[in-house]
Amino acid sequence: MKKVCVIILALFLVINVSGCASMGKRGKCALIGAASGAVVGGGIGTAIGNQGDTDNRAEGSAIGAGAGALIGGLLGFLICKEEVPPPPPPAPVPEPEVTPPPKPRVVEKVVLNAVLFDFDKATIKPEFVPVLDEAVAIIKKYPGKKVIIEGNTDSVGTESYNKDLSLRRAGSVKTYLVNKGIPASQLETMGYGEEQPVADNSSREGRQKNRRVEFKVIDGE
Amino acid sequence: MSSMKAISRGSILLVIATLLSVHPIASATEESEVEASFKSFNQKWMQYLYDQEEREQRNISCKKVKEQYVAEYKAYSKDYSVTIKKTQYQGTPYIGILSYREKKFVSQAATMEGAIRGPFNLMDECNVTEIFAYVNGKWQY
Repeated sequence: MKKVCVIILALFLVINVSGCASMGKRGKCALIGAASGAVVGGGIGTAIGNQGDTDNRAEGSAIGAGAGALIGGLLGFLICKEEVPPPPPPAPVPEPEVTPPPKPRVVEKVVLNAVLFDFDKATIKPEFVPVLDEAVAIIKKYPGKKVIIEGNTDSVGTESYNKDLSLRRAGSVKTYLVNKGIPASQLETMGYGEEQPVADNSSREGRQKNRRVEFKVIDGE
Repeated sequence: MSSMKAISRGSILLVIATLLSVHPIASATEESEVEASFKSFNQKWMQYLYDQEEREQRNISCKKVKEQYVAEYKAYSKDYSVTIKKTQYQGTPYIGILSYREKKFVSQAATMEGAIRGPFNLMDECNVTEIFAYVNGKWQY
């Protein structure tokens, strides 16, 4: 009996210390169950073998240990659930690329080259009213379309002053267009000052070309 | 005395009739002269734009957009139209309208040199209408 117990305990220790390292959870449980079952079964087998006249303890112990190991192992296997390895972390999703909205398409550009304003003023000179009226007629061909009124100057004067002046001039033109029946909601003003030269500012002709008001009729509403 | 009055009345009527008959011709002549001057004015104007186009192509502007270099220049159609319109305003008896097409060509590359080298593709195109005023016998701009 002692021998059987020592063997079972040794088996139990060996399983726990070495064999389990690379084993799954269910395998460990089955072995622990088998070992425990062998101990209990061996004990019961010894007790049963001890009854009666003949000494059958060794045989009873071996049978009990075998049956206990089998039942314990099976129960251990069934009770324990295999550990499911955690799923790998999801691959990082690349940030969606922020694409700038497409530039609005200019359908028609109307350029007023006349010097609509007196020097340093934003009041429209009366002699250029027919020029603006023609521009109004063109814009009215595009009902509902956005129209950007851009004021531009040459490079004479400070940048901030020119920007402010060009915005005021664009505003004067907007007021004129609104008075001629174009909805204010259709119009937007921009003052670019000397930022957008279309010609060389070093020549008189170039500077004259740069002093202008442009209307840009934009595709879409 | 009455015959004198009759003669002077007749003279006045003759002068009026003459003026009425001559004026449309004078007006038509003036209009064609104004039109011719506008055409001539616009030849120079368009030439200025074509020169500008050449200058732009020699010194193409290039900017970096994200990881790409974008080079662009503007070009102007060789065909253009000119018209003049008579107005109701004494100070500005005519306005002139010049119409042409403006085209934007763009090239993209990983390097600035590559973008400037091209090839350039037509990216955008729009109608351009330029309006000029005829004031004090000349085109203003």
